[in-house]
Amino acid sequence: MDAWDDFKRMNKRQMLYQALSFGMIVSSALMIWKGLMVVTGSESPIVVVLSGSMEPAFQRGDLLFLTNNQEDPIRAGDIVVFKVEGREIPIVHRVLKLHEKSNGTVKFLTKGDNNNVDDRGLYAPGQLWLQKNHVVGRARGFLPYVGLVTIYMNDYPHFKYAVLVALALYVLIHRE
Amino acid sequence: MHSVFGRGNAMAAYTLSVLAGLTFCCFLSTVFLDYRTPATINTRQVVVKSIPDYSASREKNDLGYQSVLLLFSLIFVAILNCCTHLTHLFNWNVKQLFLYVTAEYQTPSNEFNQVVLWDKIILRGENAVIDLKNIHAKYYFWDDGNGLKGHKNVTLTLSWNIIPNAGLLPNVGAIGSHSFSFPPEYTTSRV
Amino acid sequence: MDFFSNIPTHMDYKGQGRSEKLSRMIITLFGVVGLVWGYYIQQFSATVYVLGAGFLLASILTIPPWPMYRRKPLNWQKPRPPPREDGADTQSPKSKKKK
Repeated sequence: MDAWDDFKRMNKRQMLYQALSFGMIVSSALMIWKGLMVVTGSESPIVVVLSGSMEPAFQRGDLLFLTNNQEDPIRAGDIVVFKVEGREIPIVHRVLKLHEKSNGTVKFLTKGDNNNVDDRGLYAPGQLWLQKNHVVGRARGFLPYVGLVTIYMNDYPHFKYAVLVALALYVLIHRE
Repeated sequence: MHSVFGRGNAMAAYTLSVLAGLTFCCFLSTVFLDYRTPATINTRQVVVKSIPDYSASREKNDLGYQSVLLLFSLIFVAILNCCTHLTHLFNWNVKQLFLYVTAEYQTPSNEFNQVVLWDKIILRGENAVIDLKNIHAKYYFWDDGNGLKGHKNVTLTLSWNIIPNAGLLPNVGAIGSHSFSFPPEYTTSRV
Repeated sequence: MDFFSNIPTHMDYKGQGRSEKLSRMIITLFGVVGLVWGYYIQQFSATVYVLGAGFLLASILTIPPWPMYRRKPLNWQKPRPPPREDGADTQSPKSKKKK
């Protein structure tokens, strides 16, 4: 292996440099992510569509950009990403009904474009409406196919670890 | 570039970056377009009936809660004599339109209510000329409470959500809406 | 096996540069034409297909080591007589490698 030969030929200083540039990549990715969180107000500004319940608009593996600006009210027809208690994975669906009180509290019901019924069956047992605190964000931008790698990673965990290890090794060992 | 594999790899990477650039150009060329279009909506017959909403009132039954159902089965809204040409909205960065009709109203208990009554997906290449008569609403029009009887001012609007190939996901309201009122009595007829 | 290992995959130094330049030109040209054409017929998939065609064409023209990329082989120096034993490894060629 070429890369391994390269690695063996490094001295201490070069190894430190490699480690530093690896840390640089990780921390700048983290910085961008956290910065986006601040700008968009959403705890997860970019999500990958994991189910086909919004087809044909969104396929599995499409990328959505979210904002969650509190001044910007939720309205019927908006595509919201929400979390339900007892479910790990956020859901991307469209607002079907919405009731807002004068003090600003709002409750709404969602439905997937590709589903025949509304989402009450998906909510926590006994839960009839979603509220603002369930919302992760509202879909504002769309980019197709880019998240497919994530889908494969989710479907095949071994593949995920292989990719991560390969990437880390490459960055650590490869010389600039 | 020293091996066949190296050359193929470099070329694939370059092609992908060109593709990203082209997609961005496509996004830029459509991002400032105005997608509003006139539409007409009207209602033929409107009835209101008091019916418990079993899907939403499992807990609230004991509070004596009753939802109000608007019956569309009797030719509810003969909507959408409208949008004769959504076709022109389909530029090269529109994959799909999601059309929906929203009823918007105010009740004593809720300051702002929106209920989607009907929706339709129009894919690129499908007929985008909407001229519908006597269609029934797709979803039940249940109020949160019983504020619909005798309600004077419910506004129907048509909107569409644009799904692009790549880009923003705007919700656009049609120019033009329709207001109607509910009768002051619950209907007794079975529909 | 011999047959496969005898297929030439090597380009000369000038040839590598020419093939890279040519492939970029082809892909960029097809991308621009595809963009204009796709805008004209308002169909973005057309743009993508034209770009794909450009990729295929560029692959055919510049990935295999066609004779046009092998016209300027490097003139290597004649092998020197084998060096003497002493001081032979002070100038090992290890530290320089291709990038």
